[in-house]
Amino acid sequence: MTSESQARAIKVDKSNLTDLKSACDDAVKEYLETKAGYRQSHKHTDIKLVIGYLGCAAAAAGSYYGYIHPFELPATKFWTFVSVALYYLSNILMMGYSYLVEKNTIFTGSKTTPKGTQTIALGSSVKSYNPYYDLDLRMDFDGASKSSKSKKSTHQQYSTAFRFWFDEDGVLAQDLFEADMEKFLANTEATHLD
Amino acid sequence: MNLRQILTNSLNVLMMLFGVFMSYKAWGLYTNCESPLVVVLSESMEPAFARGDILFLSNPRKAIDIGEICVFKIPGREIPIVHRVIDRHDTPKEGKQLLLTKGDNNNVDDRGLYQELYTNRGMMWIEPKDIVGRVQGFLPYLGMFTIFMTDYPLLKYALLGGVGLIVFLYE
Repeated sequence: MTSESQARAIKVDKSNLTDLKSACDDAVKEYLETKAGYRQSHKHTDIKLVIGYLGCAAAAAGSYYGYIHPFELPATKFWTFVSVALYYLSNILMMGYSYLVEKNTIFTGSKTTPKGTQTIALGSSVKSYNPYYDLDLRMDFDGASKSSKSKKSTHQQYSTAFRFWFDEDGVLAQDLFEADMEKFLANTEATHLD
Repeated sequence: MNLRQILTNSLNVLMMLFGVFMSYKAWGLYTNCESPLVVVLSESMEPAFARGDILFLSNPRKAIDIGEICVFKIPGREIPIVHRVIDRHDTPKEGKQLLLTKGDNNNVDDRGLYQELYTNRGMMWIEPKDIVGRVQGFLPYLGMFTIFMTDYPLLKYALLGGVGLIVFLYE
């Protein structure tokens, strides 16, 4: 082990599945950005931020309107009702977006090569009492040439036991982990870049 | 922390505050009452209500009856009063009432209170427009907490800041 990798060693409580998952999530995100050359897209976060701040703006506007106008007026009640409804709608939309669209996605990004643009969406999950890291890898390839055949997409799933990547002290073997990630990426690319 | 994380955490804090505030607004709309929760500050309604009791208010459409306990504001005075209605005169016109109130623990009715301000001289009654809400229920002593925080505002800011900081720094 070099001093550099020692300083960055990731150590977790290996009996805690959530810790293991989040350590792997962080490691795979870093791998995709620094070594695999993907540029992270914050699409999901940004959409939720916009919805959330719009809801808060509606709430603030409605509250201010109620503050400067007497409550008894029908207009005040109407606009208060509208702002309350919009605020809760934004909450529901944010929750809905997380559960239905974002799901377990931990990374979205893309990289541009001379051949075209490769988009990736990576989801991860663990099941209770099951020490396996489940990866859900989606890739979309948009070729540089304009022909319709240049668009391809694929969806692959990989499940690996945490014991292949963590030693008995709970330290993540980054070289092994990254080698596996590289293998998964190459494997997925191969399924659609035939 | 980068900008996106700061915005996300700020949104969490905002949504925590607005979540409480908008629920209160929704409750206010449902009960047709701007402040559906008030805290008793005086002992004028002993033994029914003590200082620190929380009152639940609403404004039903039907006319106010004798014996009902109302929270009202005397024109020109900011602090609302909670007292019992002891007399009513209904005018033929819908929604017009003349009401007289008195604290259960006071020896006299509230006419002295109504006329305390020079601008209110000759005011013998209050009207439904002065009513903030009509008491529907109460929780004993739980409001002591808010009285305590009003007496020591620093405590309020410390509490609010503390909770905000925890939410902001929580990932």
